[in-house]
Amino acid sequence: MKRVGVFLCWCGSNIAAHVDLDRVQEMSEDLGNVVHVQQNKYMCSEPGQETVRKAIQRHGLDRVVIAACSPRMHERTFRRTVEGAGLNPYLLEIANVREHCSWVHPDKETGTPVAIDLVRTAVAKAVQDVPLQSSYAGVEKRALVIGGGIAGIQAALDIAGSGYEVVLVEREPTIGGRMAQLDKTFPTLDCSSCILTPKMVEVSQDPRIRLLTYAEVESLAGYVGNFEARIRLKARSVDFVKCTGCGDCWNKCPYRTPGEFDLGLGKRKAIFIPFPQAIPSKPTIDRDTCAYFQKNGKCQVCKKFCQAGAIDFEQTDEILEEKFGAVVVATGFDLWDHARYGEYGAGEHPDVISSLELERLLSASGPSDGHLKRPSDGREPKRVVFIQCVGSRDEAKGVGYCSKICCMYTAKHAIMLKEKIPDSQAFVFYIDVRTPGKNYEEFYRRATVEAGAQYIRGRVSRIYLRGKQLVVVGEDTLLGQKVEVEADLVVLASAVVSRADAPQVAQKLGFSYDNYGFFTEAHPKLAPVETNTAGIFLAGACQGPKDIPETVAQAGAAAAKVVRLFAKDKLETEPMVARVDPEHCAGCQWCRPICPYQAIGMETLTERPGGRRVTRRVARVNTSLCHGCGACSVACRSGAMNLLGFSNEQLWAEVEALCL
Amino acid sequence: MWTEKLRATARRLLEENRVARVLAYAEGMDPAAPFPHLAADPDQANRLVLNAFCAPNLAKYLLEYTDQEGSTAVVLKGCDWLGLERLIQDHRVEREKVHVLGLPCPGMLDKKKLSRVFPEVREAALRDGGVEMWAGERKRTARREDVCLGRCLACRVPTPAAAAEFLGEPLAPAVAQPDFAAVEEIEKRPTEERRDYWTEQFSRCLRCLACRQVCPACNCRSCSLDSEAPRWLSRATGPSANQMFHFIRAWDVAGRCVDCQECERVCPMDIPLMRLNRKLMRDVGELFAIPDAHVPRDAEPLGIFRPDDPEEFE
Amino acid sequence: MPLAEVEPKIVAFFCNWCSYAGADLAGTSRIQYPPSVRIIRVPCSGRVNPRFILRAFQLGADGVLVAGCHPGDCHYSTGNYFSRRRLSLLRRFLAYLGIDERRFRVRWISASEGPRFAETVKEMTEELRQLGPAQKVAATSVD
Repeated sequence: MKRVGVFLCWCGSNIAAHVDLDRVQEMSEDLGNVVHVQQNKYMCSEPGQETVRKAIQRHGLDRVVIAACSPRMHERTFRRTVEGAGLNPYLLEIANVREHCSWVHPDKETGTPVAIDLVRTAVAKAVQDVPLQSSYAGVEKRALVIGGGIAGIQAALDIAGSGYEVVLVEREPTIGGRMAQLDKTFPTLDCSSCILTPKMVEVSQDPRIRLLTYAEVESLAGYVGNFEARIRLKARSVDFVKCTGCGDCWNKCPYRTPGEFDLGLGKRKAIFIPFPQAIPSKPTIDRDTCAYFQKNGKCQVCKKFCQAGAIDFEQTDEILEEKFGAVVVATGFDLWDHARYGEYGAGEHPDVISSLELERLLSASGPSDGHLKRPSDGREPKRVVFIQCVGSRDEAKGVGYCSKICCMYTAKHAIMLKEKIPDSQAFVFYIDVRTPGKNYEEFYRRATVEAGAQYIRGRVSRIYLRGKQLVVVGEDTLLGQKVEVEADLVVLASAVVSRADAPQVAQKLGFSYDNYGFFTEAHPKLAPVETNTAGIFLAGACQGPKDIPETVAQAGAAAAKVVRLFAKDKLETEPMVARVDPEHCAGCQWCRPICPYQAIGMETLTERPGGRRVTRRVARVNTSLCHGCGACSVACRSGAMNLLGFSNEQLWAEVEALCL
Repeated sequence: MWTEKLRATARRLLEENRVARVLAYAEGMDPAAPFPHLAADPDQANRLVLNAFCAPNLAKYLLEYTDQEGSTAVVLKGCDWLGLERLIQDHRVEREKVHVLGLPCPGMLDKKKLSRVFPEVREAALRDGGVEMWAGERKRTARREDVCLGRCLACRVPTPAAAAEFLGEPLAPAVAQPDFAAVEEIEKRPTEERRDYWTEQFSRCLRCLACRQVCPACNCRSCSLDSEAPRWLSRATGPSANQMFHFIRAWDVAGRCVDCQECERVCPMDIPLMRLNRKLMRDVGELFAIPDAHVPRDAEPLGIFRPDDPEEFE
Repeated sequence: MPLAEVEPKIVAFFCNWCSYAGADLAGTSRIQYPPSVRIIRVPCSGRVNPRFILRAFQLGADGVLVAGCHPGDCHYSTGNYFSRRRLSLLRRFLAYLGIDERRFRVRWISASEGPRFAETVKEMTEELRQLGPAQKVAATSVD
């Protein structure tokens, strides 16, 4: 037998004018378990709350039902009220007799029976309420940032700047990412390196940031506040403690290979730094190219010339195991492979290049030292055709979405082409020009008006060689006629796509990704940097195509979320979470795939039935990860899994009370 | 013939310590009703039998040995083997601890049919033309459809798809596709008739729970039907409790039923339980484009989704 | 009493984040609708166990309405996708057992769709009036 108190709020006349509260009171007094019923003009007012507190004490109430406005309005208020009287705050139920009754029904005749049902149902639920407690877990105040592009750099700097330790893991030998490959940036034409490299240096000099390049996260276990990462430091064959970064080794190395940083347009040595401003500025031996590794210990030129004795051919991969409280994932993007478009030459024409390749050809630190030369014969191109939406907005062959950055960088390329080669002409085939961003539309106009780029609305159907001349065939859909343009160089705005291994990364780290391999934010509007795994945040183009300002903003936001976590010494967990009764759990594990938060793990129980030691596996809910959706409780046939606060017992009681 | 092969296999497995026990059948008072039997040492192998009366599915008995040392050899027909797969996918039995003795099964005899045709039968053999039966000196022959279990006449899985060893040559399925005609016939009736039909069927239920006990998909450690909080099911056998019972039983195997039809075989009141199971099986297959919805997979149809699942709601 | 005057009773399960908030919005907007619906608040449509639904019908509910966030908008990202599967299957199964499928509805109602919620209740109430009262299977909660 419970001692339930029912409190009927008039809400001035909001409820009282449409519900006969005296009748509701009479009905409530007749309900089993109800020992006290009281009305008040404004239950949420301080005097109203005081009457609740007093009644709890005077009548020894152990459950409280308040018939008032929506629980979405004042549930928290009234939880504090009952807590103030010494009652567990979860021994409270709200009957929503305002939004769901008095405000939607015209008079007492219609409103009163509804209110009676709602109060009776709330009482039935309250009788099944049990006290709930929050639990607490510690926080490891160190962040792991995965990916050393501008997103990861910014997140690391912001977290470190707030006073917390950061480990920044980058899989390439240097940080810098895609932004380091760009020549200039829109809409200001800042030199990309000039604004990026100071930030890279800042990373290397911040004592709170530990930079691990040429490294990869192998696995991540644990949960918010308490992650454990295994990080593989790949063997660089160079002892970084001894190396001074003097450059003798890479200058003397006799072996060359197409450089990844220049997208194969230029060459690098077998021992190399990817580009002059690389951080760290110490080299790595590419074992697939190095003669020592490929030709049985031959060569060793670098070792002979290294005065510091830093070359270490015997170095092996190293595994680090580190604890973190939060993770920022900033693994960036790739470009769609335009070779998949047969009509654009299937990647066979050397002078049909991607926009990123053009960036390298324009860059002063690029393979042609900033002189724009076309790859086939090194001639300066005069007529350059830019093709938009290559792979983007093409459900059939490419991807359905808009890659967002191409319209703007093509405008940039048209302007830069004119600057470098004044007697050149740019042609841009486009579907739509999209310029939503500060100063973007103005920048696009600069390309058309000042740089004189000719924009042609329509898709390109074919690129072919007429003799030695590249010819671009398309359609001008505004004029409704076929267009042929002779081109010296064709630049394709290839779609921004997720990294090829993005799904594996998401699976390894434990969050979800969309059909295109982009990582999924927890909510598209309200939680754009969170993942559905608490404590793991997203920054940059790994979540979807983004330009640099957006990436930097998102990285800052992710850092703020991390800092917000670290500002607490203990993480309080939501008390209304799922709970397993291990006695009844059969260990079938079907609750696990339905959980959006990977909050359900397995544990081994040891039991001694009849003195014999046996073990069995049962589900266990990590309350730090559980958000309390209750999906698992429905997947559980035996009823071993239940949701506190919306338990099977409570909901069953509500259904029965409502229908009687 | 099966019996000799089984005994030899069991003896060998136990002598060589390949398995800790062999789960098969033994002859009871009534030779036409063998019961599940466990042989734990080679000497016990000669008690084992295997014949056309061995309809019971042994897979679920493996639950008794999950916490015991060593692996268990178990005789499984094709239908039984799907039950084992169910138990494995439900993490109730470890694949490594089971040594499947696969029996390519031409069909099992139906005790209910036999009681009408030849109740004294003590021995039987399935031949190409029909079934030969003996009771001492007396011999009778019958058509398969008159004495075999209905499920065997429309068997899709006579042979386990995988086994440690087979006790015979693989057999071809009797039919390729399941027959949902009985389900469709009920679907065609007006709502009230469907309600009356099921009310009548459920009214016969004794709540003996044999259907639950025998079902390889009903393998929970404790059953929510026995739960006190909430009491999903009244202890009484009134119309609402019976409806709730059959709803819960069928719903909880939705997308999980392996179509072994043991529930119908053991139901003393001949309630057509497969018409519930198959309704769900057919709908799961159609709605979620899952061919062979009766085959256990590493994902349950109701435990996964596709964003482009059919949208039937507004 | 003539059929049309008997107010049907609809047991509704509404997810806290979208549909319950949508019903609240109908209230704050003072949109009037028939006094037929009684809402049980659940965190997510994925929390609704089919047993609750059958129980409501057994005890004489004339209709059951489950509402959740629109697919793709679930507060818990995927809960309503599971509900959609489960409830599509359930609707067919209930009909098979003889519970008229017009008595069981699922609607995706967002927090901004107060009018749509009210419309849903009006529509469903009207339809249930036409159908007449449902048959109780259980007389009391101990049945």
